Amino acid sequence: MSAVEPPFIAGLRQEFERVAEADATAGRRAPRRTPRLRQFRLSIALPVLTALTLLVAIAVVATGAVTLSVDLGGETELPVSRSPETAFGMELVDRVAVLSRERTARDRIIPELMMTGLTELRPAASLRVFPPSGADSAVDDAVKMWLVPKGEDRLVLVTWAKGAAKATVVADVDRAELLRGRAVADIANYVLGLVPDGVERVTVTTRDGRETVLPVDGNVFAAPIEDGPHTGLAWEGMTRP
Amino acid sequence: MSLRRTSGDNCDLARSVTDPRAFERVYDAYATRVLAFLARRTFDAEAARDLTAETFAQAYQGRRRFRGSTDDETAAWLYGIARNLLNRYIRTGVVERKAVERLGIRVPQLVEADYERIVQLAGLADLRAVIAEEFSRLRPDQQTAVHLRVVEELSYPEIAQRLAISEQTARARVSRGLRQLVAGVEHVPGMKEGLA
Repeated sequence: MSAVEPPFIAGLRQEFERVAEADATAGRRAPRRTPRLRQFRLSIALPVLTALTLLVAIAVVATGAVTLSVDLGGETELPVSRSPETAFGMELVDRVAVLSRERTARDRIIPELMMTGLTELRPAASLRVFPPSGADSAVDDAVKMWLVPKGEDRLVLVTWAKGAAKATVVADVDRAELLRGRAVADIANYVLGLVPDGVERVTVTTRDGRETVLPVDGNVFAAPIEDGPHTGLAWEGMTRP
Repeated sequence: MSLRRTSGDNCDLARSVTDPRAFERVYDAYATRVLAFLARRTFDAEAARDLTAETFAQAYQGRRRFRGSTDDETAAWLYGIARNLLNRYIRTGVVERKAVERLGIRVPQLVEADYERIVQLAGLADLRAVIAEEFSRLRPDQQTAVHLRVVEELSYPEIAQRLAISEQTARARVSRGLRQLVAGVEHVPGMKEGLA
């Protein structure tokens, strides 16, 4: 057999000789943990940890330590937490849950709530308070607004100032008013309002007779206003006092 | 089957756990045989060389897992590693090199003499002759089907279309033809070595 031994066999032998010699000189024994075993452990470590985490989470929820679910159809359970933000979030989601299929700010709120798991509830960025067209004032994005369902027939317009512990309900209206349009100016220095689906801009007339065009986002418009309560509201040729 | 039993302490592979130099004797005893085993199954000298290197590299790295104490058990363990690597190579077309790389083994390049001797060692020339003879003994329709499948690498639907037969018939002809070839090849010396 050795008569036909290919030359490379001897070269490979020298390589193993070198490795074995190095291990013998260093006093190294065969590794206790084999590479395959290490790979196996790595390959199962992550799934096992993930499964354990899920089991713990399920156990926590099952034992009532934390309840978390968002049922878009109606009933909703919310996480029990004492922070004002989360408490408000719970209330908010309770209202969001009864908003069925109407195209309102719900479309943005719900994914956001679901993604944040409520504990980091944030206002919808798209519902910022816009400045009047042509006004010098900067956009005030410190106040965010949501239009939120409340029961079957009513909607609430809420604002949440940046850093505030809780939101402020600035309007509590019938759904029908959304179709008719309504301006709300009861919050200091702001004109706020609700308009039907599809309206993109509204024209607000203030007491001094000046007209301001405001963009609409999610059925809501809002802008800082310095001249007191508005006197008129118009969109698409319609005017509402 | 009689085992060539050695005492646990005298089994080179077992002893190599504490004395790495003992592994050299394992290599000397089995390297050529493992190479022949792999060459007969890959028909590729370079693949056989790489698989041989990886087989011994894995054996060296995993020698603590060896529980045997005889030469036969050493051989069975080594061929087990070689078979696993071979199966993976057949399945993926890639020779695994993890252990070789981990140990820093530089696998030597093959020279002309290597190719000649690997062919000689594996008895590939004999094997070719046997296969040719066995092939000639196949029924003509099986010869055609095996040729289309193995040499021309056609799919079964293509073979069926070419021969105007059903796909099932094509599969049957190829299968029976290959079975007959394998039965003939098993008589070639060394072909059974390493088989479990």
